[in-house]
Amino acid sequence: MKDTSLKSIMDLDRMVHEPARLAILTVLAAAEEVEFLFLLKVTGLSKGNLSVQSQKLEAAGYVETTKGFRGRIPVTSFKITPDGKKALVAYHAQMRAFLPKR
Amino acid sequence: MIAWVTLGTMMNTKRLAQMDDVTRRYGSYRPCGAGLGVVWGGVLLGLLGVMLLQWSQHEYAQRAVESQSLWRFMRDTPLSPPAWLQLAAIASPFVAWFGLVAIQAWVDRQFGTVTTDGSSMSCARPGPRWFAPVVVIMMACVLSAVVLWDASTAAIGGAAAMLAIGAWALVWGRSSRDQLTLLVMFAVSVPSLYVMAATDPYGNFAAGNLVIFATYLLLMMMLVVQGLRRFRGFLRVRADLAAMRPVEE
Repeated sequence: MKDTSLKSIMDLDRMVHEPARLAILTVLAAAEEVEFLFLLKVTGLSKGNLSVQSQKLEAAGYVETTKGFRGRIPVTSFKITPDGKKALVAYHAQMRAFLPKR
Repeated sequence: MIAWVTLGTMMNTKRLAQMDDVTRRYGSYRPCGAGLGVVWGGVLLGLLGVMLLQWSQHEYAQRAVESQSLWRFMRDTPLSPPAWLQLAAIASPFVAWFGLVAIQAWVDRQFGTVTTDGSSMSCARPGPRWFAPVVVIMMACVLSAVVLWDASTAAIGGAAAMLAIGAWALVWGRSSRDQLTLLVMFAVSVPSLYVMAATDPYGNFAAGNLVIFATYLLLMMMLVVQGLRRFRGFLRVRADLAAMRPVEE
């Protein structure tokens, strides 16, 4: 490992590091806008957990939520914000620094 | 290593890459009803082509002089398409768009909507999104002007129908960013314009329509191949999605 100091590890953005939130941000970073249903299918999270995690990401300013309708069915869509993208890139950079070079 | 344990479960980087890949592919294969919209457009244009050919052959059988070829007959005889053919031509772009929207809604009901920049990835020739609708609008304006100039008041109905098809291009042109969808609407709209232009019997559009339809049917066949490719890609993504393991909660 290049950098194993406890401080560097503790500096990791915990909002991003949590597996469910990291999965959500990864999916959102791959697209412009993603619907709740797709996030549900691709992450395999429960509806409740996905709602909670996306709300946390929204509160952190990493995700934007849009509510609309498809016919009569309510549809919730998510977008990653520039801050969210920055946080994800920074997180990946930090993680790469921890991992040993192959 | 202890630090990893204290921080909780680390996401597998392979798993993240898989999520990223599935999302990108789903976003690019989803538009145009996952490619099925092209088949719908192809069926509509094919039907309109069959109707046109049936009418042409009927007129040819009834009115052609001996040893006159179909092409010469269509070129030399002032012909105006019957009301049922005109109605089919006017309705085609509208029915095509509503069908595309319905197919897209059916596709999206299963896995949801994902919008990506690469929505035209599986299209033969990605180009500016305004190209197809603008060409349809220009053709509608030019053809209706020609018909009005040539036949004045008698051609008002045909010209109005052409302008309606042109105005409709504003709707589908604004609503879709997907090149394949735009090209399908283009391939359905242009032959419809020419059928309506033939309502001026002295404009001699009837013979030209045979060429226009053959050309656009060929274009549509190429688009159908693109659409089926896209659908195959979509089925693969759907299988990958179904096989995804859930994230640890």
